[in-house]
Amino acid sequence: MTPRDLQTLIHSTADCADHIHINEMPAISGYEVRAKDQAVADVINGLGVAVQITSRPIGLGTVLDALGPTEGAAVLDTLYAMATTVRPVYYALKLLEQGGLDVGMTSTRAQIDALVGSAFTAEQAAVIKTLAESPEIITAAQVSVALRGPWE
Amino acid sequence: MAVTRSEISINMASGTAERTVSDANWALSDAFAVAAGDWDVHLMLWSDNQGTPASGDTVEWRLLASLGSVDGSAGDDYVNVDNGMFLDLHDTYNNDDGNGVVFSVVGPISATPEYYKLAVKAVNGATRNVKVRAMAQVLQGAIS
Repeated sequence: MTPRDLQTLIHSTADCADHIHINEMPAISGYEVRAKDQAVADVINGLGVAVQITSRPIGLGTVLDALGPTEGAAVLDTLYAMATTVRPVYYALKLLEQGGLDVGMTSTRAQIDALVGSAFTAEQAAVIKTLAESPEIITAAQVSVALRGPWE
Repeated sequence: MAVTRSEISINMASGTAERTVSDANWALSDAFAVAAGDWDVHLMLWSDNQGTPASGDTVEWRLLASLGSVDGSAGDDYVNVDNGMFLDLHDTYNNDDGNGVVFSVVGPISATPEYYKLAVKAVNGATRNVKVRAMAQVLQGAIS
C-alpha cells in the first residue's frame, strides 16, 4: 500500500479521526505523535482491509484445491481448450503444469481478470488471485509518512 | 598548570549560532578553531524538528577538518562533505526528548587539526524545517 493509498484509507475511516495528526496542526513531539500514529495503525489493522500481494507460484493442484475438484477441473478443461488458439493461455498452462504460474505478478493477475466470462467467473478469478494476497500489517512509521509526508 | 574546561561557540549559519535547515542539502557551519593547548574536544549537537515529526525525519551530522591550505592557494581547505567524518544521526521521530528535540554529545575529536566545520543535512527539511545548534568543549592546559 502506497503512502497516498494509506492516507486516503485513514481519512475515510471514522475511527481514525481522533488520532490523526497532520502537518497543519500545532507541532507535537515525536514521543507524543508516535502514540497517535500507532493508534491509527491499530484501527487500520483491525479493519483487515490492508492487503499486500506477494509472489505466489501455483500449479494445477492449487487450482483444484482452491476452486474444488469439480469446479477446478472444469476451469482447467476450459483453459486447455482455449490454449489451442490463445497463445498466452498456452504458455500460462505450461507454467501451471510446472507449478510456476505466479499469481502475484501484475501481468498474471491482469490476464486472470481478462479471462473472466470466458474461462473464469468473477468469483473464481477472485479466489485464484487471493492466493497471492495476505494481510498487510501497517506500522506507526507508515502512518506517520502517510499523514505527514513526504509522499514522493 | 591547572587543566581547565573551555567552551568553543559554533555558528551554524554565517555569524549565527542557530540555523534553520529548510531543504535536503548539506549546510555548513562557520569554521571554528581549536587552539594550541586545547585537547579532548567534545561536541554537543542539537536538532529541533519544527513540525510534527514523521518516520524518516533524520538529521545527519558530519565533521569537516582542515589542516590549512593543501592546494597552495590562499585560504584553508576543508574535507569535502562526502569525505567528512560521520558524527551522529538524529532521529526526531523515534529518539526525541519528548519535546521534539534530539541532543547528543560526540567525541573525543582530535585537537590536531586547527580548524573544523560542521556539516548537517535534514533529509525531510523541505517538508518540516529543523533548527540546529552545536557547541564544543575542550580541555586546556598541560598535565605536569
